[in-house]
Amino acid sequence: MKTMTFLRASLKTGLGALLLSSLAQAAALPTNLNWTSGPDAPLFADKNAKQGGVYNLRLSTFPLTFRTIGPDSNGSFRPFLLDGQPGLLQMHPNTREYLPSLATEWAFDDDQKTVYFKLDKTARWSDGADISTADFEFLFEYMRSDNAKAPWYKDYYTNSITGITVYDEDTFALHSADRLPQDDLLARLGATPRPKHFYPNGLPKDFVKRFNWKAEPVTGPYVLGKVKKGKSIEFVKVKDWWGYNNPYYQNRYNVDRVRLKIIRDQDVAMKHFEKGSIDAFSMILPGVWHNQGKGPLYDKGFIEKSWLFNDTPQGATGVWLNLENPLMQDANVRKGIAYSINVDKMIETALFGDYVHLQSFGSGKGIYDHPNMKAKPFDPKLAAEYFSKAGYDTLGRDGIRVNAQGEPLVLVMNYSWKAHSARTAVLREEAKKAGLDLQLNLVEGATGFKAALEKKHQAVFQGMGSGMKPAYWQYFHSANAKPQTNNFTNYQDPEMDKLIDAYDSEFNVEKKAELSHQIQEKIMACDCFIPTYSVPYTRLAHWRYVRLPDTLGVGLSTALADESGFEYGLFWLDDGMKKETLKAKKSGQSFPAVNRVEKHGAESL
Amino acid sequence: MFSINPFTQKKLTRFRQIKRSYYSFILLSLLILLSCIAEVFVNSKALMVSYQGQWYFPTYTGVNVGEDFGLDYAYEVDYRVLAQTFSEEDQGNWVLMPPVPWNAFEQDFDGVNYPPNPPSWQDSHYLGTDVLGRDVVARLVYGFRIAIWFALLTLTLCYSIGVVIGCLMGYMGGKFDLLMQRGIEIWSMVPFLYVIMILVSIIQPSFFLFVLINVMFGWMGITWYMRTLTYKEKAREYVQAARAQGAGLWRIILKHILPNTMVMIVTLAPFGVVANISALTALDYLGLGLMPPTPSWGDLLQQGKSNMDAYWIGASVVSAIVLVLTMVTFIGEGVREAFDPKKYTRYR
Repeated sequence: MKTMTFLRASLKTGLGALLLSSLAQAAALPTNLNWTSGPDAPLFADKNAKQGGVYNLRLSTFPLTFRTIGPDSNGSFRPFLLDGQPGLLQMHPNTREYLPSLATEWAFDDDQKTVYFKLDKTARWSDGADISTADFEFLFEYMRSDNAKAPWYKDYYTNSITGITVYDEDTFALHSADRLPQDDLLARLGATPRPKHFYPNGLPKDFVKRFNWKAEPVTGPYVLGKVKKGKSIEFVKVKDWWGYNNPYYQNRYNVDRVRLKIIRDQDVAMKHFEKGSIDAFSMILPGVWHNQGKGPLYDKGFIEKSWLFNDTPQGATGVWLNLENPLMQDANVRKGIAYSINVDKMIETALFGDYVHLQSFGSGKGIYDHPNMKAKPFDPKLAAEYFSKAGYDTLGRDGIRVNAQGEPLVLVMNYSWKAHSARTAVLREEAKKAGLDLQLNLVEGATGFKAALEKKHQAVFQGMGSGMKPAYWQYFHSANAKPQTNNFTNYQDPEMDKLIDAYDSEFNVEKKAELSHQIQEKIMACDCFIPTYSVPYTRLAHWRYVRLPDTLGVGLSTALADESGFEYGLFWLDDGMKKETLKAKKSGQSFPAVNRVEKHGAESL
Repeated sequence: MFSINPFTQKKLTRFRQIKRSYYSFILLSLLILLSCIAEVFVNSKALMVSYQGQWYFPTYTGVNVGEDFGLDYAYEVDYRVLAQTFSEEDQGNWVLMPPVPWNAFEQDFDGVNYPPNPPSWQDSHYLGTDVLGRDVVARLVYGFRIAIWFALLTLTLCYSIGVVIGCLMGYMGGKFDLLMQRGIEIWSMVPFLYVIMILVSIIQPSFFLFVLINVMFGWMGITWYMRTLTYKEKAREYVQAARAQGAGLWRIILKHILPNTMVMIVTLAPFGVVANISALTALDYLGLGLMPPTPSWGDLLQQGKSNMDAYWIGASVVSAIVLVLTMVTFIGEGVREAFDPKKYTRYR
């Protein structure tokens, strides 16, 4: 008995000591920190926005899960669940400066790896629970859990973001593995928490299955509401959302409910839109915008068209030649190919002139873009010269060049989306003029991308996404000249490796930009990546009662009315106008047709 | 191999008497034959060029580059432009173009109107252009050629395999019959359209591979008919007699039984053609058929559905499909009626 009490007592003191020591550790918040809450940036939401209303959208497939992590979670539905939810910081969509969101203040450590954050005391989960440092602590447990079956996240939250130090309820620090410039550090560490209280016992073993159809509480303004499996999904506005205390969130996320109807077929969805059961319809594809987005509803002003040339960074879209392929090892062949790809004609015909001819490896990245880099123009004569140099000097019966061995000049180009057939068909017809037989090979969807990763292709017609700064390591470093990486060209060059390593570790912006230019010069000199186009805009057809700000959107808008996920929420619904519109439709009255085109930042140009 | 006996003669006469079937047969045969030389009627290459006293026939010969005709480029001549240039120059040179001066792949884009463009006699787009600015007539004609040859080839292969296996099952009976029956039953339970879709999305087949894939799942149907018929014929005296004389397995099947079961093949074949054309069109419509930009009716149908305003696309392809399938069905009906044994019996 005595021993028992003694044990208990010693246990208690032991625990107490432990607690004390951890508290003592926690209390060591550096005192010399320079706290900031970002610049005093201009607001970008429209003050005239009206609150309320039900907003109807279309979704082409029902999501495979409501989880935001684990198998099948990284689909086109996730932007509604996660991607638009406030994290620690938000980026100003025009100036690209970091602004407060969940964190009201932050400070950098001198080690260039650590950032300290202070949380907004008013921040609440959508179920009313307080958002605290515990949720950020839990974020690591969540991401690193084997039960989530998400190896990429596990790795990222172990080897890129290495950990968290908690100081109190609202103060903590996150640590990056590498030293980074301040902006990159914020980009990496600006995490979104996960609700600890939702998983009282951590992530269970059967997490993937058990939580497949359970949506977590969110930090953002909309939470998952009624769901009809396979048919529709509704999002409901969070009552008294905490974010409205933050001036940058005011006048945004104006509608009360967002209803997503599952309509698989694009043409059927279009009919729903024209009937008015869907309020807005994304029309980025030129064929849809020009051929389908017309008719009496548009002429009479019931449906308006809005087109914003935004300021989003553009990834590398083009024809990637595989340098491993024997034919592609000949620099003259590659040069010839570069001169026989008629991008301008493709844009003029298949893309209605809407896209922009990309001139280098990506664009829209400010000073990192090479200022006077030019893509090779279509020039069958010059192409023919290069092909002749490579030995393909006679024209065969079918107009395709052959070499002395009688081998025709054939380039097999893979592409992975049927809608691109129209584009590649132009390239094929035009390449004939240079005597090149450009054979098209459609390998649909995910299989196509996997095939590209396998590097079995001769050439692949493909576009990649992009961050705010160009990324080169994944595409051109020799470390990645192997299957299952994004080095689609199998590019290997020690000099390039040096440049890329220097670029990645450079802190000085000017020097980094200079290195970026050098890398781009080398890429274009190799002719293994032939740039095609960029799509520097977003556009939308919407019923006239879906109102957009005067600027239509902001610089980083990828959608004008959040039609493919919660983004900036700048639009609103005008109930009075809706009634007026429906009445007018019945009585045959009409409004002036509206077809707006805006260029972001045009005023300041 | 088979000389026309009086019975067959009678059947053919009977077929000829069924007017709509007979004319459908003539018309369709003509279309198929013409489609083999479609390059003469629908093509961007000229039929004939007379340049400085020399004659060129580019349709089936090697390519002529612009420099051959005094132009400044070294790739294939644009004969439509050449025709215009020659007539403007008026130096005795001339170009004779086919009635439809477009091929199935080139995109006509005038820089003002975006395709699809409505039918226009001036541009020789008699049925307009599709969403890529390609001539609808050209797409239809070359699409027809591919569809009908696909159907005929698939049918021939399917029936060759099916008939042989069916006859063998019927004639040999016993364990072979039992095993094959179960095998075919299992094989035919495989949902063939899905399997084709999956295969196509993985391997992206060429024309012949696509035919083979379809044959893989198409040969079973006919086996049942042939098996039953052979069973019946096997018991007849003439088969017994042949056997008694020492005729071997293949001789009996090919020389004795097959001619007497031919009626089944002939009556079923036209409907097989219909099924194959429909299958190809359906798969193309879903984007799981032949590789784009191969001209195909399914692709046109898909475009027609997506562009209801461009009525000329949907209307032309639907009319073409209805026309061809109706003709084949008429032929099938005629054949069935002509070969109907009830016609020649007194038990009517």
